[in-house]
Amino acid sequence: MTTPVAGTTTSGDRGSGSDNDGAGKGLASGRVGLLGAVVIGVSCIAPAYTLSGALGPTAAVVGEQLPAIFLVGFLPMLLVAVGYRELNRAMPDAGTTFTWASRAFGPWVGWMGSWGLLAATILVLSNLAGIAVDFLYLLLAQVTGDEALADLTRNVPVNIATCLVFMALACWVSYRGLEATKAVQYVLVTFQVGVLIWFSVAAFGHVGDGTAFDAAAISAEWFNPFAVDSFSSFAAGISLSVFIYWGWDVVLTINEETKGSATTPGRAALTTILVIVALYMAVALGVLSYSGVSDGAHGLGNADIQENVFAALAGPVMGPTAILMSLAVLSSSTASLQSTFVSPARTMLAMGHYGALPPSYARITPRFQSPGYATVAAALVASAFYTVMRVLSEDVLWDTITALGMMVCFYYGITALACVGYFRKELGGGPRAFLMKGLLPGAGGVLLLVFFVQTCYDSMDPSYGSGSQIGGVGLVFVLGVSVLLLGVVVMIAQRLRRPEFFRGVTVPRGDSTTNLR
Amino acid sequence: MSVPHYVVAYGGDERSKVALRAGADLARSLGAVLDIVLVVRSDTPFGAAYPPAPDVESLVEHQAERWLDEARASVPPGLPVRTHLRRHRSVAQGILEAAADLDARLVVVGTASGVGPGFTVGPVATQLLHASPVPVALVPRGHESPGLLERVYCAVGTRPGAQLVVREAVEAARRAELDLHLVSLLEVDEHQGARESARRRAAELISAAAEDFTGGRATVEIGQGRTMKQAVESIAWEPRGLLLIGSSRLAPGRRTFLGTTAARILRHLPIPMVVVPHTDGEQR
Repeated sequence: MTTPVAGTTTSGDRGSGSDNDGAGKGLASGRVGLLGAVVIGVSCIAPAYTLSGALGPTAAVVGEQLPAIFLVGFLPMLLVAVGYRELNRAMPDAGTTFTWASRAFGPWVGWMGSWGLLAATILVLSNLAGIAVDFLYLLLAQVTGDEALADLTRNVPVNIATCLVFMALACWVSYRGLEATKAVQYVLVTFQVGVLIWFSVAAFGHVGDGTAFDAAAISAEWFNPFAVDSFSSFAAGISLSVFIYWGWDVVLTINEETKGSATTPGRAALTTILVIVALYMAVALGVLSYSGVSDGAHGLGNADIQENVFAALAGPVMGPTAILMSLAVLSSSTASLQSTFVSPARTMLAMGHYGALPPSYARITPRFQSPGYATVAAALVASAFYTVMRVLSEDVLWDTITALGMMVCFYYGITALACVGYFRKELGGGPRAFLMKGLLPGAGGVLLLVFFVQTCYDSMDPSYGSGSQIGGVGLVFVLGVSVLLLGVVVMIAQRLRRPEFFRGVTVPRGDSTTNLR
Repeated sequence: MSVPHYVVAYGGDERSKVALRAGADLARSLGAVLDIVLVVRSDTPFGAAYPPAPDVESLVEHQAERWLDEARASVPPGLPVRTHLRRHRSVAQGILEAAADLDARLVVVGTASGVGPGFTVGPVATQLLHASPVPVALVPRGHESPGLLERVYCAVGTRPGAQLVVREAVEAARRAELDLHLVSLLEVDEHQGARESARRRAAELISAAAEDFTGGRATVEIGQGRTMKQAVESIAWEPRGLLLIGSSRLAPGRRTFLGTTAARILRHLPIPMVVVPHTDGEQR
């Protein structure tokens, strides 16, 4: 069904009005039901990829309390998502963090928040591509039975070259504006969820028949977040688990398109999160029960396997079916790699449009209607970033995930506070407004920024995370802080060259009671 | 009879500009109103970005409006033009719905940049060709649009029913007072005998068609060569010409469908080509 765009009909002989017949049919097109919305939510969270990236680093900081952190980690995500939803309703136009934070707190904060989002997406692109490379070679080794192939991923030039190929392909797909279809998403999601459940079942099977590596009985202490040894570990664990739930808020923004009653979006978000939490619990408990937290060969405390737990454990746990895990993670990460390009490209498009970046970023490719320039820019930056990181760090996946957690905390924190700032004059309007627009997002924002600061501080320690360092300072700190400082430099340069945005001309500061022009 | 509407599928890129110029020439020659339609492709929720990305549809629309303004400004003065911005999951479907809403008689679309001269069909044009209930004009890449039409060519196939398209051609030629040329394009192998018989059969068919539909007023030409490329090149196409060709018999219902011969002609043709859906002998 075609939707004539309200108010933008550029009819030559006015009064023909032929473009208004379809008005109101608008959102009926391609509606998604509950199941569809859940599939979209799960595909955005990409559980097979996120777990393979975050399971090890999280276990490294919180040990046995892995399930507790996975449960608690959802809370800040939920709080921020409430703010997202309110802001998305009030200002559905292009931008998200960028326009919202600019409006609430002015151009400087908006710019930095958006930079945080860009940095997070560049980090996640690097990490996704890195994971895809690992599992590609693992899969090749499993298919051919030649163990040596799996080690190719340790060969830095081969690894970088493969990664750049993945990056280029994903960029090309995204540049052409191609999108995954319904059928593809259903297959990918079903496969991922199925394989993760099978992994968990197989792990418990080994525990049951005594063939587990270091069998441990599930203990109540695993679910106690207060048992984590220090606030530092707790903050680090939460930053990582914010990453594992990252993407869930998509379910809340597709609400306009869900069919059926007004409760469908809420139910979809709830169902998605129940599915995801159940899945994460099953895998976390399965892994803990099977491996324990010792630093033995297959123990979760073993630094050698922490960077990529599934790659190390799929073989012993799943036996010959381990190949399915490689396929699941590879398909999950390559699909996400492609859909992830959309995010920085669109953010840069919006920033270019409002004059916060040079106008070339606002270029839209006519043939594909995609932000072509920004897409290529994102691919180049992510590729360069990965290459440098791979050379600098032996545990590039681990370090990028940790830095990613920090960046997500940073920009989500700013976004959540932007909700409070934007609606500040409405907060007295009743308990619901106070709760949904003030207290909940405000608490989420403060929590995330506290975790951000704590993680920043802790990551100065050279032994932090994977233990990569530069000149006695932890690599994650150098990475996080230098990226943010670079943002400040670019922002100032942009202010000098194109001051309109920074004078509040293109995105004027305001609140929910301000009339938009 | 009311003034016909011609829809140009426009996108702001080079091939759309070529299509627009050709569409404007056709509309001026045949006294039609030109409707420039730009379809902004809306996201499918299943292509959702990870992590959540801003919705930039309004920025794309903003850009699209500027493309439409440019398009309108580039049309020669005097031709009635309207522009339409629409939104759809599929650009081709959006164009077809616009064509249906506007009761258009023709959809004009540019073609992809292939290798060498002539044209290959892009994804939007392909979808249009496989679903359009109205004739689809394919404009070759880099077509110069030399001005008002002077001649209508009509390809006459050798399969049964392939001559019905001539009726459309007669109608178009009559309305614009243009020459009508019936052409038959033959790929013939070295074999002398086969060549002669194929040629004779084509000549008979095309003369019969000329007699039946035009009362013998149309000029008849037979292009032949070892390949379709040579067959197409053996005809001295008038640059201000247009080739009408019937849809394949595989077309479902009264829709267009690009047959294999038509597709091969397309690849080497220097002038716009209109694929006409089956009319089952009815007069439109």
